[in-house]
Amino acid sequence: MLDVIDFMERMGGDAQLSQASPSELTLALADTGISTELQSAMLARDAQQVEMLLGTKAVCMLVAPPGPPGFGPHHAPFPVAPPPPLPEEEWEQYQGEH
Amino acid sequence: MDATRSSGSLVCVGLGMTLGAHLGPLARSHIEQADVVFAALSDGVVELWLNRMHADVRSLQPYYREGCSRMDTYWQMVGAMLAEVRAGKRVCGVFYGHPGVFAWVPHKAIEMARNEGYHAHMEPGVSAEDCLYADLGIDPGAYGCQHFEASQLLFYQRRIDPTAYLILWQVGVVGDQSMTRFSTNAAYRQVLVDVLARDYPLDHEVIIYRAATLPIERPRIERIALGVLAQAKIGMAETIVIPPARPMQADPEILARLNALDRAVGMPS
Repeated sequence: MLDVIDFMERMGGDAQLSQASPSELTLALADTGISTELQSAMLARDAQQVEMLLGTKAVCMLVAPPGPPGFGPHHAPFPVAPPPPLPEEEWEQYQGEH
Repeated sequence: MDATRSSGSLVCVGLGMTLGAHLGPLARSHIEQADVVFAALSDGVVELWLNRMHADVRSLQPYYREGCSRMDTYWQMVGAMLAEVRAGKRVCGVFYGHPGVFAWVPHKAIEMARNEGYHAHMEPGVSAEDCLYADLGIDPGAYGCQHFEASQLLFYQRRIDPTAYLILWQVGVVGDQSMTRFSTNAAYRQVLVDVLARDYPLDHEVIIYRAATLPIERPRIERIALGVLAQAKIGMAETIVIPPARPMQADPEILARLNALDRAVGMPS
């Protein structure tokens, strides 16, 4: 019996299953212990519904600063340059202040 | 600090873009053999998957706070990982896609760990860029390919080559000077359109692309005209691909030099 994470791991790494038609996916899901609701969401390829049913939270993605540290014209309109690496004691102080 | 005797270490690995499809054996081994794993991933389902690979997976998500500068958040993420390295732990940072592409935290954490004398390195992963080439059928060798962080294209005077592909990342937050927002609106994207209109006609086709993060998903591939890009729904995960708008121009002077060299070495030109 596979749960939804096991099934998706298998699906992601299986040449046939990753390209499965709706009917093939229906058959493959029928052999699992995944709930009917989750199966329907997976068949609909509805990732948001899957996340909701699993109770996972939306995540923030990493966003890179728009330039290398310290780079930019003199009048850079945004603080692209992070502070220099902090020694351990200063880092603890930084954490305390923020 | 003399950390050369310490057993603490740091490796940053990529989980790839799609659950179950892209994780390499070396990255998985680093995850499984670490003392502690930190994670910044593309969605909650992928976090659940990672939780099965190690008993002590610590999400970096709680460091995000509304209205807080992302740079402060990123420094806190770096600090959290380094604290465990300094405590002598084998630390593995797991990031979606490639840990070194559009990801400031892994680079900074590795740099700082090395500066303090710890062993630290990065293992590559399958990035959104890799998926993009496969899903859109683009070979960057055919016409060339420029990549820009979208805001950088607005903040700085960059030189666009419209004979090559242009790929713009992080368009969902284009124009954000504060580094605090998680999206910017159509007015900001219109500024981007106006900048792009210097080199492309407004009816030029652009592609909105998002790689699949779950194997049940299909990538988002939506073709629209540049002129309506501002009105399109574009989130944090979307990338804009702009195909070439003009043919490449031959360089007769350089070709003549190469022909002369060919003749000198007896090669037909």
